[in-house]
Amino acid sequence: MLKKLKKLISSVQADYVDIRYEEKKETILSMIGPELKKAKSNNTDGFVVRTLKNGGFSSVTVTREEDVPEALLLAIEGSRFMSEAGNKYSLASVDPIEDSIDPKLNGDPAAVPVSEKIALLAKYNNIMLTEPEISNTDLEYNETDREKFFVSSEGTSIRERLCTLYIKGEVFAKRGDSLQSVRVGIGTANGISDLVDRDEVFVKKAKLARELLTAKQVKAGIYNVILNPELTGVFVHEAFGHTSEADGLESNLPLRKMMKIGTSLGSNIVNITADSTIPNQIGFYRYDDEGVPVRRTQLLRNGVLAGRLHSRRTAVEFSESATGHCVAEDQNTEPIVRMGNIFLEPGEVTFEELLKEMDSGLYLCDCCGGSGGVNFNFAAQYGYVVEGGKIGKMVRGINILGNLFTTLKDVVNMDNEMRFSGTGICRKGSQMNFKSGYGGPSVFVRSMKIGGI
Amino acid sequence: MEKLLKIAASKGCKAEVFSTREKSVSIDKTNGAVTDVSASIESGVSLRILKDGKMGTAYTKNLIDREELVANALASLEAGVEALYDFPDAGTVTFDEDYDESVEKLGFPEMRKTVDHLGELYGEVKQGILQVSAGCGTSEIRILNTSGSNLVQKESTVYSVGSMIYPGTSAGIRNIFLGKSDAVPFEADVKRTVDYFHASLPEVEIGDSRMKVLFAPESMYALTWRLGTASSAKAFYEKVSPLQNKVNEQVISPLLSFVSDPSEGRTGRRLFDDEGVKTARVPIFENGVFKTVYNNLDYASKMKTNPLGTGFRGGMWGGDKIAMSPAPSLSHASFSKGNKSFEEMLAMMDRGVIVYGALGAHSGNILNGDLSIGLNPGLYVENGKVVGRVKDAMMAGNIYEMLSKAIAVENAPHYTDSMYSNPSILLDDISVVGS
Repeated sequence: MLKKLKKLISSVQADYVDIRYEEKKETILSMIGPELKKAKSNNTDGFVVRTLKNGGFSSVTVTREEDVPEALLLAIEGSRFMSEAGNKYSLASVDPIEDSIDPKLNGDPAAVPVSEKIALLAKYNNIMLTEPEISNTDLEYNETDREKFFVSSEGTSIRERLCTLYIKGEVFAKRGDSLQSVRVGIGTANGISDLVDRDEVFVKKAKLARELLTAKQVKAGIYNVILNPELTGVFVHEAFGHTSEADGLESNLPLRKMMKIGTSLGSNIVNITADSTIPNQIGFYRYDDEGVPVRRTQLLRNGVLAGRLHSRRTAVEFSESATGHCVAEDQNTEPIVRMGNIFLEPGEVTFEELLKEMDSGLYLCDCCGGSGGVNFNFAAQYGYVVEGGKIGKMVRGINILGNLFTTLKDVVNMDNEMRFSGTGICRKGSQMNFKSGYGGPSVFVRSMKIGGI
Repeated sequence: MEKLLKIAASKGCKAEVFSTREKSVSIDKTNGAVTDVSASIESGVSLRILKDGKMGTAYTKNLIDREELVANALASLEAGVEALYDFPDAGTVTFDEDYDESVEKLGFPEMRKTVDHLGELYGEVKQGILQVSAGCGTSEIRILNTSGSNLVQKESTVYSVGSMIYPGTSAGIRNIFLGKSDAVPFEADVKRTVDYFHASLPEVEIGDSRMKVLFAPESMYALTWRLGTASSAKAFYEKVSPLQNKVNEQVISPLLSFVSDPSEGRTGRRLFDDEGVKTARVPIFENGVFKTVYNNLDYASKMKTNPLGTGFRGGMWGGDKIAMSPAPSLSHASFSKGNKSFEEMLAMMDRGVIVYGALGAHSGNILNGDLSIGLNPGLYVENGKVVGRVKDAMMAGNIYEMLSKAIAVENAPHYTDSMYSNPSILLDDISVVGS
């Protein structure tokens, strides 16, 4: 395939051209309640071409190989058009690479029959359905196996296989007219064995859904809070991570000014890092979709902005180095600046010490949706009232509203136990990224705005 | 496609082939500079087979090996997903009233003219970021099945968008224009939005209180997601809907009708849904009374009722029509227009907020109708005038209670990025938590 791609772009008259071909094998199984609703395995593929000519940069996606020549012509036309519009784009220099990567999987799902995957899904589904007062479940097994081939006119030639797996969904508890749901999920980029023997996750979430039936609505107001690792991760991803993506910053001059490297943005104990090289996390990959090796990138060091996430084009715009974060959802999409794994680094105290330090407030756990950038809004799945450093009654209906810069400054402390999400789906523009990992420790933040239903 | 259908039928299956072909180009301009041009040429084929009360599916974007696709669908059939329905016979129909062949020839130069013109209309905007974009595309959906349907629906779309982003934020307000042949902007709409943008530049701290809230079309999805999730046959079949025993009951304000009508719109109208069922006007709420549980072939058969032509491919976030299976969908539903102009509604607001952007709209207990969103942006109104935008404010409540407090509905719908239009809705006495 790499040879074929080289041939397809060999005669293109441009300053730079690259082509990516991807074959995607996907298995999706789903159950709603006791019923199997979906069971399908599919193979599909497609091409993305990009050209740079006289400062104009453009991309075209196509499905069929016979349309690639037309796509290249369209891309050249787009580049010419952008050049005539006055653009002077260029790409950060990177060394040409030839490589072929296969992940070291702890159980290759391709070797496991679909019937075994259905059995695994059904087992977790039944675990939840048999808990008292559980009225329904909605659970999906998703296996995405992508083989990507990337060739550029600079001599880069890379094949990389990425295998992402998750089982996720919702569990519903009902008593009378009261209905509560809890999101549940496990995921890995490390092979199917990581999804086996995880019963405790599903039992815990089913019990939680039931407990929420009797939890009280939180009262809206300003609280000192402790975010658990999942909520910390969501904050870091949604608020700080997206604001660190250079393509979103480049035209937003006021925000760009606020996000100048070296600016003190937060409490001096806050350290945030993007690292897609961690092999067993869902956001793992070796090369981005521009053929750039991804590197661990410290974004915030001791509260001071230390880096940001780049494509080759945005790296030039900011006079910084490419970081390997230009990633496409799949074979139908052009690459854009993206996070893989992002996390807030742990502190030194224990969770109990953190609770004592806060004394009173709310301990907020897990996330059931949210969005944001500089301003954010997340829903916590559940929470507890904390009084005298002790965890008390459960509360629900919790939404957190905040501002990135205020929140970073209001971080008081964090504990020493870090956890990653295991699953993560991130939407940016029209693209969904299923390889979006996030995490952190439990973090004590003062004066957060909490909205109750 | 016929060959594929034949191969599937030769295995003793009833079969449906759903295929798409799409072409599009787009241009983005930020603060006067062209920042992105892109194009795509895509196609795909999805196969669904039925045999002995079971269903199998398979898809590919690149139909090279028909036998392999059928083999994948047969493997899927083996898993035993129940299917108690049959494919409809809708005959042979081509619907191309929303297709303008000339759009096939539009490219970057024409879209450049559109964004340049739009940029001129927003010329007064000097603060924050001005983003203008334009695009065009054509698409064709074909549905073939062994019951005899051979349906083709072609459409073309040209759109333009002008967005004004507040300084130092990612929040803004915008106008969207679209049509099957062109996207001529309505200058009065642009002027009004530009005026509101300028008036709302100052941030205002409002504290906590109850006030009037006007949902602009851009944020209406926060309400319609919840209505759609609860009124779906899926929620009823699973007995988890809060509307379970409320058919023909007054649930929300009599001012509000929420209707699925794929025959409405400036483009993208549909004679058939994605399963080949004839579409119709389906009132979900009529004058506030809950009327209809919408379905698709699967849930119609499970609930022993007729399919309503509301089976579409795509989820809450849209998604790939080829990869996704048909499900009950309100992708063509909107609130019916009312009898007040936007200005009249604004004049009704002694104190309130216009919700242009809903932060966290997909969070929380959506099925229950719980809603807790950041107002991003929320335009603050005093004595009928926009006087700023609220700082760090959120609203929370349950949509059924909120929508029972509707006091006015706009007399004109506006397009949003979901490509479906809604009027603005004014609600009274809503809790807003400010800074």
